Amino acid sequence: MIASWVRTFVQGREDRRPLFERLMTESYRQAFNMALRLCGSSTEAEDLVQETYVRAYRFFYRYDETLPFVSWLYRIMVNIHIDDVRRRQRLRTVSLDQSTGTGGSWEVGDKNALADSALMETTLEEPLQLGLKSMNPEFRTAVVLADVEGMSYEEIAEIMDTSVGTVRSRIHRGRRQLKEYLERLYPGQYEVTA
Amino acid sequence: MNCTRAKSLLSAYLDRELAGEQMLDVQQHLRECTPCAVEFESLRRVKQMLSQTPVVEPDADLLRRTQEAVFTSKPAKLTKSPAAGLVAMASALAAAVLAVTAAQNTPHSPAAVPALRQVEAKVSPMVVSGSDPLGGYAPVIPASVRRD
Ligand SMILES: [Zn+2]
Repeated sequence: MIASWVRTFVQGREDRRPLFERLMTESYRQAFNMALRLCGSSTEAEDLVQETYVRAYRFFYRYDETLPFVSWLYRIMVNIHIDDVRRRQRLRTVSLDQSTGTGGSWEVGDKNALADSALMETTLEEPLQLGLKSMNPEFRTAVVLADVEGMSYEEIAEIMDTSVGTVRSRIHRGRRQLKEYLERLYPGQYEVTA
Repeated sequence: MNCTRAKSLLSAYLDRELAGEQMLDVQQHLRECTPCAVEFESLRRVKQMLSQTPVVEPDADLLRRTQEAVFTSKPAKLTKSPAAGLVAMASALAAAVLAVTAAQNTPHSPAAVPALRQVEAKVSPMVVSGSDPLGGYAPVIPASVRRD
């Protein structure tokens, strides 16, 4: 009985493959643009998009077709993105700790920077994207969902698995950070005067 | 409404995410207070700039590459997939059934039920809540970076 249940489950996923393929074809452009705003470079955005769909397909049996697919997809993407950023921050902290006094990891960092700049790719270097990049990932995600994607606080709360109050605070602090970044780095261009 | 309160509500006001009465209170404050009105205008500009960011066309090959990644299951990832979890559960349950059957063949054995519970406890988290990409993340955020 259990063996047939497993067969049914795997079969069920295969049966839903055409639906998944259709949803993926319809949504991947939007997903790529969302990822690009979160990551800032097309290489990283492509990786994020692929990881998101791989995970979405693995858990597709949980997707409720009456809900918007993109919201469900973004929930997965946002989790992966925030986890990635946190993991990299931890790694950086560790490598800095280990290199205390030797300066070793600074050299590694510089080499990486050179490799990055040598890549021919779409990197969104405009001030706005640099500002987004400077924010913490929760603020960035909330601001991008609200202002680029035009989502309501309730939808964002659903995607970020948090309360509307937290979303409100993240968006407000995020926009203020972005505004201060632009005013500080590009004086005269973004200031609003009375 | 004082400035501190008004400033904290400016983004929600901009997004029309306040209740009617609060919307009116903020509106009234902005008419009377220049510093808050300036702050509001700069937040409005940030939102406007973000909403006007151009749509970037992805690489022509991205869809095909992503489909390939999705539908070509890798052995390393299979072990984590829900199907693999079910297979593991199936064999664990089969073992439990065997244990119960064996226990029933030897009446008065108290070992059978705990054995089953143990197997269930081992198996269910993997299927029900383990490796859940939707159930929220548990961010490990150092206190120094956490701001809300
Ligand atoms: Zn004021």
